[in-house]
Amino acid sequence: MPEVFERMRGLYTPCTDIRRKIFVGISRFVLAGRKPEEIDYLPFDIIDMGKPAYRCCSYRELSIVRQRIRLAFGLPLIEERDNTPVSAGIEAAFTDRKVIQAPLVNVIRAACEKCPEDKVIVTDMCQSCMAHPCSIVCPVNAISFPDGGKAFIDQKKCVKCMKCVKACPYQSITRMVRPCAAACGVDAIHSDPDGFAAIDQGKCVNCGLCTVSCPFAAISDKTELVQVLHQLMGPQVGHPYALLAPSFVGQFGRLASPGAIVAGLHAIGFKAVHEVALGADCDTLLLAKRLAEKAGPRDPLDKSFLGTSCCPSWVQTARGHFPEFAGHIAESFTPMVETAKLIKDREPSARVVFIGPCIAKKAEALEPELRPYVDHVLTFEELAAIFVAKDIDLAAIDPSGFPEEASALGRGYAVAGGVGGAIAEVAKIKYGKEDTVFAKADTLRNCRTMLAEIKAGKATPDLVEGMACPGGCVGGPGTLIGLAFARNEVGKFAAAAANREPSCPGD
Amino acid sequence: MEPIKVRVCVGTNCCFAGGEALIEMLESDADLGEFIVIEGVRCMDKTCSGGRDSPVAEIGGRILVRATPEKVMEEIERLAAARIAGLDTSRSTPSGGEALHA
Repeated sequence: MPEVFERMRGLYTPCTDIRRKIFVGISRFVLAGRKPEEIDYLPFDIIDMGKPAYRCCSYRELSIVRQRIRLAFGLPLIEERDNTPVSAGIEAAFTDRKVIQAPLVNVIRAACEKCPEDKVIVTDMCQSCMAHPCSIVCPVNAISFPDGGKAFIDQKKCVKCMKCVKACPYQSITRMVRPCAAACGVDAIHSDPDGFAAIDQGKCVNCGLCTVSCPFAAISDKTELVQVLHQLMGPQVGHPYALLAPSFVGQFGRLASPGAIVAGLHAIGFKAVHEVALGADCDTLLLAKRLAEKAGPRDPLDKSFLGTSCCPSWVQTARGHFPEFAGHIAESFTPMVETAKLIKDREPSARVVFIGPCIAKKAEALEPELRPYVDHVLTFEELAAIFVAKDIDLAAIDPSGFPEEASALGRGYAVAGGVGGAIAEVAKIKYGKEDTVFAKADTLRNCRTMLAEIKAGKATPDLVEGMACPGGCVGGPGTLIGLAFARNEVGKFAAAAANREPSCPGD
Repeated sequence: MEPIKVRVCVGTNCCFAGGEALIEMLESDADLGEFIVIEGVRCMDKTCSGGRDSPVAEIGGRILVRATPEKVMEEIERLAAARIAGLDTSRSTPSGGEALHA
């Protein structure tokens, strides 16, 4: 059975629809120069009262939309159940400065359906059969047949061992896990006393996979849409720089070439566009050198390795869950920060907007020491909403030239295996290191399994790549297209690079 | 039987409203393979009314607005059934479809 977020991936569901309508509605609102005091009109640009399209009634829909708007404006969540108007203090968002703060990922309780956390249940398929292997295999005697009827599982006794699920000849027993919690690779989602999903912010690493896995769209991250729009509209026009994450290729549709995307970014007010793959190249060179320094005969009991550092959720998970390995994860900046530094060194007045598939990058950019480099972070989905609001058609626009700057290996960072692959290849070419043992994992659950195996001595890699999102960055929550198509587009774009091997302008 | 032409707009408005997702869904349906030819196309005369009616698809010459997989599949099945029955439905589609095709 595929992971929960893979089951809905690539489908345009009403959850996708409401999220995107809100982003477009907000963008049009801000671009039209409407004022904070008009905010209470905004939900009616998005939903049609009296014609509920997503929920049981328009009033609930309205309440949820108001709260989603608040988060999309970048402000702390206020819920109506807090007995406070949701639009309170909204004027603070009408600025080109940074307003978002942790926590980035929030549960909107009005939208949460309080799904059972994790339960093994008997469905209607149960035939109350003569063999009843379910109760025979149950190690805790949790299954009975009240009145000789269908099987019944005593939830207080059940230990979710799944033996009954496997034994039932009718496949009538199933395990239902809350999708948000199933998507969370760091077990950060539990229930509050009222049964609503609640995020343990101390554990959350902002991968954002819960936001795209909840079938009620009840979990949402904050956005910097409004502040970026102010940046693009403001008197400082000419200063915003767009940094495109390596996974950008193909995200805006099969007819939107990289050059068309650059032209679109210029059309909405960005002064210049750069590839984050450029910063990835700097990271590759740095880590290849580190890897080569470790070369030499290895002690079989040596559990040290070089861990990649480009995915902030992976770094946080590895360091948090395996403190003994914390020192093995490279201290280098992420490609986002490397690229932003290159730009700010050249032009200190630049305002850097990173555009990617990633929610964790929003959290990374909140780090005090990184704030001077990255001003704002948008997802591809949020950027696409600006294109729609500004009526820019990337399939029809005259493409600009694409700045040829990054290597094929740097462009490959978007796909799982691409980061470690690049480091190992450069270590071999530049330093003659032939014997790299490379281990990689995608999704945080798999990353944790990989590290547990290293800890247990079952694997002794010297290079370890971790990615929080399935398939790597191309599978991120802020992406717009399917995994296979995205992977293919990234591959084609990498193949078109002028150089295969990286070089770093800072070196 | 000639495969049914399915053209889906992948202009920015239509992509954002699910145009790419629609293509992906149709392409991944192996059972459809021999019956349809799918193409991602540019904006078809702004039929989407600035995105309000996105995504737009054209199936066998007939324009569908706010095209969901359900609607598109229904139209494909209708056309396929009619073709098998030996009817040329492209003549009997509501006005608009043919004109936009030109």
